[in-house]
Amino acid sequence: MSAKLLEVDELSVAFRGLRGTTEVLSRASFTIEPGEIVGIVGESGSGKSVMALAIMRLLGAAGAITGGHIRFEGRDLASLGEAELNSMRGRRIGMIFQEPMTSLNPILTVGYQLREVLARHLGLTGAAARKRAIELLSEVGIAAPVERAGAYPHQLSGGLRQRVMIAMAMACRPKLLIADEPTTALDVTIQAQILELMRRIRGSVGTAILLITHDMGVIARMADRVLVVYAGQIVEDAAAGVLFSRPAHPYTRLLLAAMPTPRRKTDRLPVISGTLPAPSRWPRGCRFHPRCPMAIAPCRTAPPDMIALDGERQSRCIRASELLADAGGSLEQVS
Amino acid sequence: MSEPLLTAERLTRDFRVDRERGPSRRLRAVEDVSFALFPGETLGVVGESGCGKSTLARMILRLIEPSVGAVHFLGQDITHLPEQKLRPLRRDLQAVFQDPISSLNPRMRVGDIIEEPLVNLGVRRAARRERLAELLDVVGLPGDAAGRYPHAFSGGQRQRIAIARALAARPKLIVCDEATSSLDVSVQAQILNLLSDLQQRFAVSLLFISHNLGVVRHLAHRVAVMYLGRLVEIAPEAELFEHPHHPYTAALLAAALEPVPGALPPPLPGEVPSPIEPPSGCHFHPRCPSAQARCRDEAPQLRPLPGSAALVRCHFPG
Repeated sequence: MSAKLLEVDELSVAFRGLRGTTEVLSRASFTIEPGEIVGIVGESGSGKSVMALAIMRLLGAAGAITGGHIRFEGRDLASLGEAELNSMRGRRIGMIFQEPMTSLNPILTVGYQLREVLARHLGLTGAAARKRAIELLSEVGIAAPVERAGAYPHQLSGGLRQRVMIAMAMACRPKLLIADEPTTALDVTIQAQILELMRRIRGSVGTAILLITHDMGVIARMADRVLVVYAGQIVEDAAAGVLFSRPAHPYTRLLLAAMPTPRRKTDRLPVISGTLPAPSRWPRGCRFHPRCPMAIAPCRTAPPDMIALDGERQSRCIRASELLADAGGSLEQVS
Repeated sequence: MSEPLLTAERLTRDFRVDRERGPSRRLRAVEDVSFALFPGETLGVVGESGCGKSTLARMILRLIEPSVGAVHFLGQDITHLPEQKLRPLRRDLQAVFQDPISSLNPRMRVGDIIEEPLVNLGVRRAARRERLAELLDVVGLPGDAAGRYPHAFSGGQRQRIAIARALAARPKLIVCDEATSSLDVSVQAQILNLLSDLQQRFAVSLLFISHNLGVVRHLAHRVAVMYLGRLVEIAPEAELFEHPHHPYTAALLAAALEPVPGALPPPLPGEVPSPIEPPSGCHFHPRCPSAQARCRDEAPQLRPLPGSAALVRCHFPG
């Protein structure tokens, strides 16, 4: 097995608020191998974005890592000083967000902002920086890159802005690209272009991608491996091939069944009753048990661990094997 | 077939776009859109951002007036009806919008929000209270919700409040503009089930506007597809999704990703053009895989496609 690029081990994160400290991520463990695309999927408030921010050490003043380790290329990110972190961010780890408009400076041209990245991380200035900036814009599929380099962010469409963000994130050929809802603000025909670009970059540069999204369709087409997050915990970790055909956690299975598809007329949708609880109100025992049609007495009291099911997957459900044996969809009918 | 509840006739809406330098420009947000909506029917409207679907909704709701064309509702021409004469019709014409946070008054209790349309109709207090209890039950909110404020509720519950308010006056038509788009999948399923239950129970018509094809197929009986202000295809749900005739409809369907691992569909080339400078001829021709010279020069009309139930705006329908 190849060396791990990123190892997240028992990572916990808490935020300080008016009513004390609230844990928002509990003991998350996962790894990413070089060139691998790992998807994190979950609903809003599940803690999926917090994982990305914690890895980048961008939790802000109110947030803190309260436990665990993050090792990137063998180094513990938690032990790095601000200067080392700044060189790590951008140079070794790139990041793109949902809304490029808020990440780009509105009063500077995109070419200037690209050259700024090249100067800071690679020491490229002048004509060399200008040339490289144009190359990068062209690499991410921007037609007429010389003209576009002179454009301000608001003069570009959402799809083009996201391409610029990817060009900036890829300027230093990072080993890891963290993409948090990169296509959520885009129309579907443009989303397809951006996803294809990310796939192409993984293929040509070998950059691993941590792709965070609420969209199961995007994850299915992009990820090699998928982490499903619910109420601050990873509840399932599986290769994409098995996760979507035979989910091993009731939450994953219900979430998939609740998505109406344009491929056929769906009848009544199975419903996950209730809503995702806020971090201060996570239930005891299994955090999904109040909404779970399979919950039994131990689910209400004992917090389940991740259970290894076979070489490819883990599930945080004590009834995972039963769930896998039940292929007839009785779970969805119960709900 | 019964008389349509609503007809849109050649609706067109222009906006003026001011520029820092130079004369202001005209943006044609909706162009020549016609359709009919029948009692108890759900018509889905799909398209990407900027296709004019929300402007269409605002014209139907008479929040704005069309530049050209007419809207008939319950047999009356409401296109330029003054607000005073429009008011009695408003009870039959309700709306649910995308963001239940900005569409519910944060300073009003939920009970007052839901009752407001009834107050405007002069319904007495006792009858309102009775109807409120009924509505809370219908949309699945607890009885004590009435005394609380919107911020105390989750996004899905707020959308239930918006739906209860829309239902209060027993309308004939509810326009839903991206009504489930800000909701998570599990909550979206709850709201979709609620909408189909309500439709069956009260025979209300829905104009359901969304960019989500799965959601539209789930609810709609017929579906209209818009691109850059024009309606490019309208057909019964099964026909539109099984046999799309317009190349744009086919491209939209191909780009909708199912939660099934596999290769990415080949992306449609190019950007959605600016509605300020739409392409000549067929608006879709620069991105269309089957475009020919004629598509650049001549705008196709929306026409019935022989041997099908679809109307298609394409010179070379598939």
